[in-house]
Amino acid sequence: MSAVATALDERRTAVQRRAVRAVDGQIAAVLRTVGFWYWPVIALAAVVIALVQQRLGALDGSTVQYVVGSARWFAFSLGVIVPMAVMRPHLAAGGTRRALVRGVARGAVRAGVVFGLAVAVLYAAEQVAWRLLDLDWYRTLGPDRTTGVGGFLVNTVGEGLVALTYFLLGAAVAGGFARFGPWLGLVLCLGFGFPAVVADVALYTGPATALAAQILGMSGPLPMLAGLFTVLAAAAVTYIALGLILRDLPVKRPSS
Amino acid sequence: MTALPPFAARFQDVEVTFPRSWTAGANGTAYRVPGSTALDGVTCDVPAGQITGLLGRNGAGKSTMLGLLAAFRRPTGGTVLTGPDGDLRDPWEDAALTSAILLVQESGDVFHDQKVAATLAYYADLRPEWDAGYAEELLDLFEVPLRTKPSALSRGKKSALAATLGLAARAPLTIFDEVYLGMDTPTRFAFYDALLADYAEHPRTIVLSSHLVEETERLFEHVVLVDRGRVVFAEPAEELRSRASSLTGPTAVVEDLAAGHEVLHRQHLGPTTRITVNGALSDDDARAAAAAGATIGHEGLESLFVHLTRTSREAPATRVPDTDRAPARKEELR
Repeated sequence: MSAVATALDERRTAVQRRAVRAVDGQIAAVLRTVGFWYWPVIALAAVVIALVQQRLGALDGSTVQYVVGSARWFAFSLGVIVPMAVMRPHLAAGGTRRALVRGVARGAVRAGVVFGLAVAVLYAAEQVAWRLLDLDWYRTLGPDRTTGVGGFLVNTVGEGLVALTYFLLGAAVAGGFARFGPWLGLVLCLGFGFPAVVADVALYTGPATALAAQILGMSGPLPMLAGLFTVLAAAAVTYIALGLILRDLPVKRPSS
Repeated sequence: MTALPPFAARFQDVEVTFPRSWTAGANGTAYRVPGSTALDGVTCDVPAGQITGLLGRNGAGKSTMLGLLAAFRRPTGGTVLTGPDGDLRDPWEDAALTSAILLVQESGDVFHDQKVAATLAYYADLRPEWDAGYAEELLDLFEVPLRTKPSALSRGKKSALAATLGLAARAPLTIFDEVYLGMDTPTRFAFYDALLADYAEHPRTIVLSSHLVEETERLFEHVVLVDRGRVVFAEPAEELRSRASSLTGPTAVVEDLAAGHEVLHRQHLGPTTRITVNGALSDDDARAAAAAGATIGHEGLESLFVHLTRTSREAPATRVPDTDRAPARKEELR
């Protein structure tokens, strides 16, 4: 192998790795910036709802459950905006679309971890507050009633996977519109939404969990794991769709 | 990391067609853009280690060609190859090549809502040849503040930032696509000087797409002229500089002298006529002209550019046989 060919091979590996890290870093920077105000606002909203319900004598279990649902749409919005905003500078700086997709996936995992932990912390904080106020804590939405460490883990993993899926969905929808235009893009958008809806439903109303428990006869933690596995599968399908869309998306000339 | 030599590039019968598509208008409404052909059988070479000028009128296909080199898009047909001389490859999705090719367009491809420093850091991360010190020097020269967001910069400063990215990256194939737009005259000349100085110190291949032919032609060592998606010529600049000649004098005399030459342009001013012909005139022609009271002059690259592209449009049947094809559209409409 010639010296130039060797140099190109070395360069390919090093640049690809750095490019994935650079995209992930951009997503991390955005998550830091917007998370700084988003999560305090969500926490404040939960407190305000609790105070209003208390005053009206209608306080009925968790109020965090009413506000954390917006987190997935926030993840979706970030997915729509960030990867497409990064794409042009990323390719111009020397990255590839493959590195962009991998970087977005890493960023989505990061978003999932942050969102999952944030939701779990909010629930945990609410449980502590309820206990201090001598109130019963319970959720009316979703099949899961677990509290303590188990509840924290389930919330982190479940919400994290759903946020991850919605982030990837946002990126796939933006890429779909950019590549296929408004009509076909809209059709694809609805198609891409399916795995995310599956993820959401699997987590909240628990058909995957119910299926695992009632039809497959699973018991113990297995039905819950089946639900989480369904969410994971939905995230994987969305990731594959994103890769297929972005792998040959042309870059348009910027309008001056 | 081992340094790479300057890159060469080759277009082999390249065709790019844009399908019918939708685009958003200024008021946000979507409208249909008809399909068109941007490049039609483009074949030419970009020599390694030289400054190549890519010339052409608006919509000629220059930006599309440059986008292909940078792997921003794929050709509909034909092959685009680039890489070290003798080892040319398809740049599509090859990180080794894309990180060695830099296409700089007006206003640059930057993070508009983050500080300039964030874009520089991103490029530094992905560009092994990046020179951070030189980038800061250039930003000082062009008076672009590091702590400002590109969205807050004037058009000229955005162009200067783009030029900085192009120069400081020291990519083996650096492409400037009308990057001077918006720069004032002193900044443009500062950019040309910096380009030449850094090119001499760090040899690489540079492609410069420009409309300001008179201003930039001194930089070119090789020139590619495209018109209506086709290559009109791709030749060393030195040969082109002496390629067009003009004959000025009494109409009958210059018409007589121009007979047998390809006439690019004819201009009448009373009894005097000036004819621009394609190709150098012989010593015999010069002697005959002097004896008949006509003068012979050399036309510059700009004149050749104007006349050849005008001729191709005035007589499409002779230069561009495929007259039925849709006119090329600016890629920004896609």
